Amino acid sequence: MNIFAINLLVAVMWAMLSGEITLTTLGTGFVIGFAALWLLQSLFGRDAYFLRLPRLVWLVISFLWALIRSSWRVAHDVVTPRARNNPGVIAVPIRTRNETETLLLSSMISLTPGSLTLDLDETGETLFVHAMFAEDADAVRADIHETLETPLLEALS
Amino acid sequence: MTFLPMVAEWASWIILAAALIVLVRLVLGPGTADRAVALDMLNVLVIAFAGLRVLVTQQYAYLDVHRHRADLVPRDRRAQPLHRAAWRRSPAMMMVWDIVGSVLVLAGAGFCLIAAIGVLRFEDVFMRMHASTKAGTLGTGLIMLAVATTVDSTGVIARVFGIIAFLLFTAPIAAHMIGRAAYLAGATLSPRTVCDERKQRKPTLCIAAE
Repeated sequence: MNIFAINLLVAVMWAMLSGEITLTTLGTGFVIGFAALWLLQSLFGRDAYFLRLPRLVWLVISFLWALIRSSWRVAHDVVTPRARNNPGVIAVPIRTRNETETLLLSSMISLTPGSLTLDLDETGETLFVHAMFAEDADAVRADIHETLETPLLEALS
Repeated sequence: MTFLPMVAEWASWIILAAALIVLVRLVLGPGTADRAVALDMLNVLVIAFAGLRVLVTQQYAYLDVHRHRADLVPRDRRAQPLHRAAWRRSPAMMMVWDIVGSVLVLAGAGFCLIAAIGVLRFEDVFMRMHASTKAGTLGTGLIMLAVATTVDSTGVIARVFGIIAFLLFTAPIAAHMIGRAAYLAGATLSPRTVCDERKQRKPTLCIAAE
């Protein structure tokens, strides 16, 4: 995380040089710092930082997309008279490597409307998720796997 | 001339309507878990309402928990009306930010209202939780985002992101605890439920009721 410290330093310097320390100047400084450090990559050798930050951004985008999509689906089911939901409790096998990752994954599942983490089995390898649209259990499993689990595991690797 | 405070005023009424609907669920129950869901949602609606008050009154004191009762604070010690950066004060930019803020505010309030209707309408406690998480994450998040985009003050923006972060950290834990307790206590599942793989202890194919 040494390069992260340098990047933060560049952000603070940018903010100080532009005369006012606000979120905008700090943010601009961070982006410029990341770009500059990215160009100088060969000086530091291969560092996981350059992979990790884009993956973290990708995780946030992926999560927001899941949030908007599922919110829309639930909202649609609330306002239309005919109910389309087929709720069910689904066992989702997970590949998380430690408790922090399991906590983050289950929280992200709970935060997206239409899915709710109910329980974790004794071995910690299966989450039980209450899904609002469980017509196809495999589709729910694949959806959680693709939009939440894989980006999370990549961002934290 | 800015019309955002007026739009925020309308949105406050929408939030109030949502709170009334949730109140019905709080009274009806039928179980403790249902009441917990309703209380949790009311709490989130209060946060959304506080965000809207910031936009209506242009005083960010509503974002401070310790200053929540703004009426008790002497007038000269209240927060000053918000300033905007010079480039934002041009009429065209004001218009753009007003439109962006209005869209965010109305979308957020709309989601809160839909969530409240869902809390009242859905059959079992888990379905109601699906509806209420939407108010917490998207509805309140959008309203807070409106505050962040229309107010050009680092202190306010930092506070708004703090509020969103706390919502994102606490909401799933509350939802998990309520949901797990309700499930283990044997809450009745909606008749539309197609499968329960936890009961069966192994993944099986869910087949739609139709």
